[in-house]
Amino acid sequence: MSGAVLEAADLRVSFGGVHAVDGVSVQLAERTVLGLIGPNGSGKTSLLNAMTGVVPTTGRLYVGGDQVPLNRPERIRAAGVVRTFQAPQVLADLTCLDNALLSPSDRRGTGVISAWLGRPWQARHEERRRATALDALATVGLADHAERSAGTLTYGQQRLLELARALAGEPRVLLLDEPSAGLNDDETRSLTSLLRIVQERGISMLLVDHKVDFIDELCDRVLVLELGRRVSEGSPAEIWADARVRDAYLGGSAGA
Amino acid sequence: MTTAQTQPPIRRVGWSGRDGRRLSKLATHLIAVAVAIAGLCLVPLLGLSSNGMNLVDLWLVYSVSALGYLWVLGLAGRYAFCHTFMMAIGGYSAAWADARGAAFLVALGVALATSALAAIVVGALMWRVRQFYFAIGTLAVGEIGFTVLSRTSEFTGTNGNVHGISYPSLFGHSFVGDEQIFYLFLGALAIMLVLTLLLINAPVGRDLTAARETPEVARTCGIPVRRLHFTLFVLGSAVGGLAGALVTYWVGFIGVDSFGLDLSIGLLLIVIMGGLRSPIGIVLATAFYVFLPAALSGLSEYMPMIFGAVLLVTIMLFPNGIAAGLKLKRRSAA
Repeated sequence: MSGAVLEAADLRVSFGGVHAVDGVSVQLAERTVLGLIGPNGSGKTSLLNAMTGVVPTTGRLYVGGDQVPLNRPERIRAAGVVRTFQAPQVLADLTCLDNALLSPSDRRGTGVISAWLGRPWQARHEERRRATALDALATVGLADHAERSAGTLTYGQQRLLELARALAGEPRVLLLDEPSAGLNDDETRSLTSLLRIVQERGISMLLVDHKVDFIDELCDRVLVLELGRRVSEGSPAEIWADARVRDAYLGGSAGA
Repeated sequence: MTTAQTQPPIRRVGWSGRDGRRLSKLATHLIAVAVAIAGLCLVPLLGLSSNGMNLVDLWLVYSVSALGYLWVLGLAGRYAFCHTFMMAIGGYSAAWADARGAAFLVALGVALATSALAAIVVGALMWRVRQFYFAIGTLAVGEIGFTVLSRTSEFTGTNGNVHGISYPSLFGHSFVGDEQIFYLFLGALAIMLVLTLLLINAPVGRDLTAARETPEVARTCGIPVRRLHFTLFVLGSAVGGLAGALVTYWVGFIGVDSFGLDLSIGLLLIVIMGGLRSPIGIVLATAFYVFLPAALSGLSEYMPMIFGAVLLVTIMLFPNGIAAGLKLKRRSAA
């Protein structure tokens, strides 16, 4: 598959007989944004969980053409796939800067041995990581909060902090799980322009969301899921014109 | 956009924090430890009763073991109940090596190695089991282990009792009597405090916090959660083994009752009271655990009840441990 920075083939996730993800394949082209929509329970988050290795999954995953083992979150992260969560997952007791330092692309000098025997070496790498993390905090507009504990942030700011942590990891692929959930219109607009900047940096994105305008504005293509299966895929305009998509959203009876 | 950003100044200090507050925190703690250790050096000159000196030594060596347990419980977040079993393994290994003429330091090395190996075996068997089940499982492993130790006589001596262990000696100097053993234990405690502070105030300390609080998220961040936890479980258990060896050399004897279930529960009490991230708190809590029964010697039969009540009150008043609780109280009072 040429040009696909992320390719997932035939992913399956089941929970006790329920097929949350039922043979879904995803192709994310380099430098593009793919929207992922579908009604509640259609398996969007499960698909993200499958692609980041946090739920038992079968199938195949390729990043930049190289196969990456499923069910191994650390390996998938190391391949350059970074995600955010539906409810922002930040550590309230740590400072914002420490939170932004949790997912670096370069993990040299973060082990036990270097904490004891390689302090200067560790400090050198840590300095570079700090610069990247501060830069990411500045990008999302949290530079002034670097020293504050993450617990003092508002909900919207916690979402931004999670995004900063992801950006500080210099990802190839960013998977965003409902980044606009719980944000007001102003916050959603600034998130849109922020994600445009991210896209301009050459980071490909998979974007789960419910807000139609938000999806329309950012996504090159949209993938529609229903009951763990792929229903349709196309440009935003094609998707909204698709009767199957309307059915999926409004229920089977809406065809009438 | 990028050109408009002001690059914050980067200095060659600190793990995080623009002003390097974190490094100065490590430095402050290290200085505090150095001062405390220097002050403690005077204790043998106080002319304590032999019983008092004995308790002081016990406090120091239990602190070493409790700091190892802090790595297991606080840093790796594993409720392992085999820590006293690791102490026993360390003690018996040291006794075994000593009986074969090994020098003190070599015997300590053997103790570290065997307890680490035991932890690797226990960990490999039980790693998939979590939380409560891990606690029960490791408790079972420990109990089985103690039974085996008390029934074999090859390795452990008749009925698990080994007598006549040599005096510990370093660089030609023998540590005889509680006053001298004190300095040996104080040195071990100083090393453990420094190692623990270095761990907590490092990127690995940050990663361990994330790994303990939100393990799945930490894994998607690329933090090798399982490897880190396993490593700290093994290292912490090895420290337990070292403490067991030190006790064995000090007493000159080891039996299966040397490290019983009481101590297991005591160590848990210490780590919960001391706080999951506070090495200084651990040392204070150990003092409490060792000296309180002596201070209330008339009430010895009620000791389990008193400890139970203290544990309850501690958890309710200081959910983050005594040291953290006092810090908070001080801040709100200021």
